[in-house]
Amino acid sequence: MDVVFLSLVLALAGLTLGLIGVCHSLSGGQS
Amino acid sequence: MTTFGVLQILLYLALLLALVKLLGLYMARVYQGQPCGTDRLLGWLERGLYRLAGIKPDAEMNWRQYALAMLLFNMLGLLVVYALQRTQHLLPLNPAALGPVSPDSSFNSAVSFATNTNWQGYGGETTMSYLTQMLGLTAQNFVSAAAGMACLVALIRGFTRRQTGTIGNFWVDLTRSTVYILLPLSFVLALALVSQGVVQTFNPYAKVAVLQPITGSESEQTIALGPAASQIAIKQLGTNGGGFFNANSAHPLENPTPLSNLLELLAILILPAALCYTFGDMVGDRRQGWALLAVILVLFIPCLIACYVAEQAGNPKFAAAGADQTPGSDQSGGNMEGKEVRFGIANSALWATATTAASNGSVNAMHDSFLPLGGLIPMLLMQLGEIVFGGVGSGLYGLIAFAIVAIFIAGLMVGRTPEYLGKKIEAFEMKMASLIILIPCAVVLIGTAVAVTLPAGKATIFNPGAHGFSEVLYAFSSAGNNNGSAFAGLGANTIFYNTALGLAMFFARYWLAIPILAIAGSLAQKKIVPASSGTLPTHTPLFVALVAIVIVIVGALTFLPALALGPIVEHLQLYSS
Repeated sequence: MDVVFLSLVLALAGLTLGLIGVCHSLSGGQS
Repeated sequence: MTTFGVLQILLYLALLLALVKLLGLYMARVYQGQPCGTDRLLGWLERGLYRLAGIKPDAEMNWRQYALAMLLFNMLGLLVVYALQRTQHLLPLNPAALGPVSPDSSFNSAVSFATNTNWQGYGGETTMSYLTQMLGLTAQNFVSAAAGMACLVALIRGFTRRQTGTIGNFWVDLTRSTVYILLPLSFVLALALVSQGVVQTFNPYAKVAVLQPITGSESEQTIALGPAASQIAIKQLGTNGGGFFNANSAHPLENPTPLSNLLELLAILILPAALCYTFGDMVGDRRQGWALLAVILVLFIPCLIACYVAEQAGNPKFAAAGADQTPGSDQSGGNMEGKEVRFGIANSALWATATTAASNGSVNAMHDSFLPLGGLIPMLLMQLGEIVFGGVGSGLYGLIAFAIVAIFIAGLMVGRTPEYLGKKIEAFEMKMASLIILIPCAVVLIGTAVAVTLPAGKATIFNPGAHGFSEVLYAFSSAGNNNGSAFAGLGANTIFYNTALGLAMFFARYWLAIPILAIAGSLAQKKIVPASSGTLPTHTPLFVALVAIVIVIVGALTFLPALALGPIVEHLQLYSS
């Protein structure tokens, strides 16, 4: 079960990194 | 309402407002690196932490770097809390010999404390060792609150800076929030609470002989102890809310006296209120901060009155059964079910309103036992998005997102490009503000719908019908807005609820903070446009009313149907028979 929940945390962190990417592209790629 | 109850509430509000300017100004000095008094006392700690972690305090970050630093820091914290819970039986400071926490509960609590929610699916004294409580939960109480404050400060810099790509340094903002604000205040409050009888000890649980033993039952009673005062101080100041003991601030060793109750109540709202002043000071126009505080009070005070009136009115079923619910010199009257006699109706209603207006979540009465309309108020305050005070930092940045929407609507009405504090509000800011408003709503409503549909969700609803639905809606409203209080009654320590509420808390925190930082980055790059005759003043009563109306309309349109199925139906059922 530990593996399941730790994988879930990693997946959530990955999704959140994706959100940062989406927001960056919506901003027109400005720094 | 009783005269004495109203006077207590007025005293509380007066004390709260009296402290706003003092603390707000102090925090503005801290964040702007100006001398603040405590820097001479604690400057060595700040500098030492930078040296230890290899931080260059002058290094600036763009919004993506800032967001990545926040995410990385929080993920590491989350994993540490998870590991502590799973291995606490192997670690010291576990006098009650408590075993490892289950994986699903560990996940839920780790997310809960890292996200500043502090939803508790477990009972503290029967689940967590002293080490887990102190090193895991109390440490997260500090840093999760500090992370929220850091994001707010980054957003404020977005307004004040012009044509730059940077919004500050996350590590510096995190450290200053902790060292100069949360740590000193918590130290003072913890001592004050100890003076009132809140426990702070490493001694094992006490065994005492019961005064009136009943034949066939235990002659000894175990009284849970622990290092509670230090956790309670930061749990209130950091709008965390997670209790050391299962009964939270209703427990006599967490909140023993009316004075401890007043101090804890002040601690719940003082930082979110004072941050409004900090905002005004940092943007160079204190009226802007007072205007946002006015929006908060315009929403808070009617909710407080509604909750108090509903609870003081009493339960019609009890009245029909002949119970005396009249207030008098020997009783508070009203609906005292689930409330502490030492606090009465006024202080229970005030706490319930304050703790759910702020994303605190500690309780000194059981919200599940409130009358339907009394219970509706805490639920509604969370569903508005935790922006009526809200969490430290997170509440104000959420409110600023609503202010951006209000300004955009006003701009559409008059046909001009909307501006806030000299910065043009354009399509990107609106997209981000929309995300900030829509994500918690989606999390709450979808989560509730899934829970009342799946057998795993329905299995632990112990009160079927409207009240059971309210319990599920409350749980997702709490997790989906990072509040953490519970309606109780719902069996939430299951794999389904631990996982589903854990997901809700995660999205509610980080998927709002990141769009906020993106707005900060976008605003920092813009020029400051001088105010013209076409600029909407954002410090006037008109603006206050506009923002409040936008908040109420969004909240009402989104949640009224769900509330109608829960507390509103229950209220009608209560009075129809």
